[in-house]
Amino acid sequence: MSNRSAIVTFLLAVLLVGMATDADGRRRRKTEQRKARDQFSWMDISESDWQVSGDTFTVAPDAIVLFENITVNDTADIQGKMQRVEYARLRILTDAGRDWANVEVPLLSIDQEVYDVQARTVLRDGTVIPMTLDDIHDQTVVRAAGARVKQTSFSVSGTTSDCIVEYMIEYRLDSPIRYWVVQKDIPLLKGEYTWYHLPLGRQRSGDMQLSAIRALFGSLDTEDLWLGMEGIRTFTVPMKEDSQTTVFGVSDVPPFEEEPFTIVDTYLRGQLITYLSTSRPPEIFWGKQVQFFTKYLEKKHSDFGSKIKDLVTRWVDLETDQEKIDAAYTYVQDSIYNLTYFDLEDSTLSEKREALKIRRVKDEYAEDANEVLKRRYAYDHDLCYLFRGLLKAMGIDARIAFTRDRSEGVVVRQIKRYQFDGTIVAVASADSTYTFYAPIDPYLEPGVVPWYYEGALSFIEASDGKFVPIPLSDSKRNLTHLMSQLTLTEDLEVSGVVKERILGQEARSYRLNAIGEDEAEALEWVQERMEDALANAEISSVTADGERHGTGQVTIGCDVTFPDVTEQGNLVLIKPADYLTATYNPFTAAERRHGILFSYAYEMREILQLQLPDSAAVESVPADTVFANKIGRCGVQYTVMGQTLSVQRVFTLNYPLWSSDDYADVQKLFQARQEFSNHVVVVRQNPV
Amino acid sequence: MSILLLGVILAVALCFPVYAIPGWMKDAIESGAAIEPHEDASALYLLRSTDAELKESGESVQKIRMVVKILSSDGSLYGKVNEPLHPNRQIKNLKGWCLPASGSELKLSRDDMVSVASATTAGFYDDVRNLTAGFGYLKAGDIVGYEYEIHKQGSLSWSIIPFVFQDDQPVVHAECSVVLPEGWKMRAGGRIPSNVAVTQTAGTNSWRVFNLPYIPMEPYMPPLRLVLPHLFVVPYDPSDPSATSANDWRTVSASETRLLDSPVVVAPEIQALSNQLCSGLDTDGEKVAAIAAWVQKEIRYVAVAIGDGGICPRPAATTLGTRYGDCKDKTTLMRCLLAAADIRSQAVLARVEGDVIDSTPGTHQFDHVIVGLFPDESLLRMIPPYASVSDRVYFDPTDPSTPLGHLPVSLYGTGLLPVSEQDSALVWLPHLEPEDWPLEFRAVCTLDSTWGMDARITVLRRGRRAVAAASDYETTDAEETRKWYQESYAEQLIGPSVTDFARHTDSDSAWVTFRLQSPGPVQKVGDRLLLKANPFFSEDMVPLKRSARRYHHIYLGSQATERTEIKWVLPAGWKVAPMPDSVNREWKGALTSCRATSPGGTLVVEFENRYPGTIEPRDEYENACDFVRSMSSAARLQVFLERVGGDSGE
Repeated sequence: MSNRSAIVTFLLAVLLVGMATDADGRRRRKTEQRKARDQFSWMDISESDWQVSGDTFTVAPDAIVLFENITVNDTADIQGKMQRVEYARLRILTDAGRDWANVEVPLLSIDQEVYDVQARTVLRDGTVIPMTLDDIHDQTVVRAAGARVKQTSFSVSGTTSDCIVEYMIEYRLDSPIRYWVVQKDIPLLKGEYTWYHLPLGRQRSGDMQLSAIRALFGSLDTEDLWLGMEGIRTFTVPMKEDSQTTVFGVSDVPPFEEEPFTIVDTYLRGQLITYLSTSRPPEIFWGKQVQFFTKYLEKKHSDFGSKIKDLVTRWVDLETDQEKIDAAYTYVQDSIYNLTYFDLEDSTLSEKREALKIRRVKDEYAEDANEVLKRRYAYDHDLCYLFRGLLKAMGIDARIAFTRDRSEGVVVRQIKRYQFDGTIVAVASADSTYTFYAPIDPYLEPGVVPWYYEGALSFIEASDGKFVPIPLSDSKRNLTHLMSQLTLTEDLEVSGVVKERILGQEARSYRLNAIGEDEAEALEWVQERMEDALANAEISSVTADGERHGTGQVTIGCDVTFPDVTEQGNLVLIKPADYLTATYNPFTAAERRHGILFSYAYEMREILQLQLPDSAAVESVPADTVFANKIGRCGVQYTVMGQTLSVQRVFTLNYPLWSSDDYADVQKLFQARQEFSNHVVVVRQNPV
Repeated sequence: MSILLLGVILAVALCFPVYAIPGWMKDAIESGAAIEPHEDASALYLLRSTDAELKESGESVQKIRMVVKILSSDGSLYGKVNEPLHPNRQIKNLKGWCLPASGSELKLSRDDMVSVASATTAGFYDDVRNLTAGFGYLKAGDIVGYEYEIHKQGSLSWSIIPFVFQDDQPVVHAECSVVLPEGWKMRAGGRIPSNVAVTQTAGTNSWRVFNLPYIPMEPYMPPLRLVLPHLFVVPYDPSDPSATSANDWRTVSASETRLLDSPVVVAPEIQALSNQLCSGLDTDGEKVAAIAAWVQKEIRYVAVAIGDGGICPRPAATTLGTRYGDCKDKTTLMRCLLAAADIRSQAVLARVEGDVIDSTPGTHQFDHVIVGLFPDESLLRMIPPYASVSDRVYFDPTDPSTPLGHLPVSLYGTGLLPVSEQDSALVWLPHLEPEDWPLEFRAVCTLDSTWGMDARITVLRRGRRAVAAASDYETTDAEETRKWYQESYAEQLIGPSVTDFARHTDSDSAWVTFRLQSPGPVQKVGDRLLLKANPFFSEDMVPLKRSARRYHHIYLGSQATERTEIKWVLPAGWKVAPMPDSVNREWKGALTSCRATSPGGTLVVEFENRYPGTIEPRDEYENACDFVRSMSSAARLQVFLERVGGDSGE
């Protein structure tokens, strides 16, 4: 046989063997799946399952979860994968309840394998209708850039409006998914979560955070936490005879109800989180964590290079520490190109790029603060390290702080794992309080952080490991001043100009939306904003003044035309609310379960000046009103001077975060504002 | 040296790739260079073209070209390719180019494409994905161009050639050409602009138009499907009797019998169920009613439109076994049960979304199947006449809330096609009249001496509204409905409380009654009080600006009648003064009226709004403005109250 033939033959043989191995693997898998299928058995259905009805609920549900049993098996080493099994039994009570027999298998992880799905319907007379493979559908829900996300769904056969449906889903996972969302959209009567974990001291490779915790604390333990379960019965049973198994249970879990203005509902639903970490109390865990990362920062980010030292000399003669901080902060904002927010094609920053001589950038973090200065551009936390470095080089106690965007999640201090998604800088003062700075986030004054960090917990370098809440900014910092100067014509048409001065977080929103946009495009956001605010108006000739890349006031202006006012005989009934920003009361429910979360505290001051025609006169105005409670303030004042009707409305929200106990007060404030929307000014035409 | 030079050139080429913009895109850019689009336009289509070629097998290839200039950041979404993908509908050879306003040219890569399943909710399964391809975030001044092919095969219905001349953005040049196999014919339909040039040369039919202006969105404009210019070409082979697109509805109907009649087979389990349902029933009418109710209620809706599942019904025995199915499955099952009881029926094609167009016969026009019955006296005696046309009664087993004798509201005013080997033609269902969809709101509101309001309210639905409401009462919890009313009224009233809530039905009505308490809608005005006559409904109405130039015809909304009667019982010592003027305006079948009277110390205000559901020409705009203004006046009616004897105070 020639060499060439031998090579071809060899390659063919390899190919054939490969194919055979692959086929063999598939056959083995199918066999395993059949075995798994045979191993699973349905639990008996009792008469008490049939007796369950919706009568005991305030709103009768369409279906009830009789039980849900989750098994998480970290020990099942099946081709390197972990196993999770979910078994649920539902009592279907109405026609609409049958839709609960259409199940989307939850996407717990992109890498998950839905290894087995079984389901059946059981009728009152004992008839059992098993689901067939034809009822299961796998589809690719997203396909992009070579990646695919698949989803499995199924519809259980034979369901009626008075039956039991149950299903079992077995997952194989690359990494453990150890949470259980207990609270569904329908009631759950009983639930159990069994966790088979590895012997302590062993954990799967690849979980770097776990390795770090073990290195820090010497050992790992199983940890668990119930969240959002107030008023719901739970139990935890470690199986003594088998120290590697823990069982958790719940009973009588009410359905989840969405409410407006809350944190993301993934944190509100009752749930169980299990994980591996140290058994030491959270205070010890966080204390050690802070020591660990303080040491890291000291090692990596405390040798201030020559560039840093040279730079700070220009501020050394400033009188106060605050002046030095402000100067360093301004420097970082103005003299370092922030690639987190701005790309290199941004035409509004071409001068800045020229001045900083930035042509190309490296797609990686800098080695240290000195290198950031050298590069003159930075990503993310590099800006914080630089700012911190500058302050420390001037002897100011600046520290890195980690936090979390509260519009996306919350830090739960009892969970002994890293939970942060934001980095800021905390400057300590003599009285052990902190002022926070956000060098990564543009368009903020020194000492102001983005609204989504306000009220969140921060975890600070070189501290005692206790979480420090980031202060909330005052409502006066987020002040909006709207002035409408309108004219009512003899033909009862209303038009004029509106000017709005915005400060604080709202001004920042304008600037953030304008990033990368030219003037005309930046005004599109303003146009939409005014159209939303003045819902009845036609908006034209929009303008915006204010430094594009600054922190100060932004003034927005536009021309407005409103619909004609309505006449009643020779009276014209004017509703001032029609000419001011549209408001609504979202708090219409009688009760509230969850805390109330607004974006930020703010104050809105509005003045409407309506010039009446000579042929008209104000006959009466509503009484001035003022309402105030701890939540905020709402006041309206009417003045008539000659042919000008002036209406002033002020609304203040003192703080953005309120507990459910404060709901009645929140509701009253918003009802007070709602009352204004019904006010009518009576104008007489052709008065005697 | 030459090798060195070649190496340098190669290195430069690799570092600075040049994406050659195709000639057709350059031509389109040049042609549109001088066009000044409307100031509100977000994008300008420089070219929209489709060249379609159909083969005898029914397969077709459509070559698409598109060039778009982005005018604002909102226009970015117009600069993308969005196409459905299906095993029978593939996108091939997709190429794209971007000429940014500043920066270097870009070429579309695989990373710029994503396909997402169209149905991701359990209970709706299909194999359609939506392909989106484009250049990320586009800015004003960027120009993008795309070229790709749509390959269709399978059922002949896939060979329908649709073409949208324009969505709402302006178009410089739109063109569609269709090449048919020899001997084939076609019908063209849609909303074709009057300035479209239609040509036919040597087997190629083409439609070409230039400079389609921006289409603004205006209040009270007709539905978009009636506004946007579009074309669809329905080709057919006159020599093929099995074609689902043909010259006449008779042929189309006959072609569907194989698909929809052949599955009507009485399996033993079907026979057994039919016997059970009809047991003890004497007349055909009773049997039809029993079978219809059972299929409608007991088979839940799950759509499995994967592969042939999109057009072929499942065997009735399968639907029975799984207890779920889509419209085709439920219709087939019902027909099998009827057949088992020796009752004749037909499959009937229907359309839920959009209009059936008589001039372009084809199954592509339908998206739903219902049952046609050949009623005898026993059935006709039992049911209301709202689903009867000529000698047939129609029934939709898929709609859970519409009983026998009624049809879902969306089917009225459209065409149905009974499926039959013999003569068949489109059957037109009458349009609903406003009186078919009436809502009455009645309230007796007592104002106490502190101006708190205690109201007893009845919300009454009659006719077709009652049918939908009655079904809703059966399937939703009363407490849930009470909470819904309370939260709805909280948008108009301050902190209302809804109690004593009850639901009722009778043969042609469904109504709720409840008590509502809240602070009264009263404001002090000097020594008088101002009472909002109707505080229960939002008075927000989209206004029409009289001085605006109107682009579209006027459509106030679908047909309905709403009557409101509110009786205010005033505290002792108060009276109405003066009585407000009545409002009464009619326009083209629409009515808005408001009348106040003051019998025996009370104030009674009656409102009525009637909407005919018609589209009126835009030269009626001034009258439409007046009408909308009258509606607004009526909704905002305020009434003055004064003390009997004229004393001030409350």
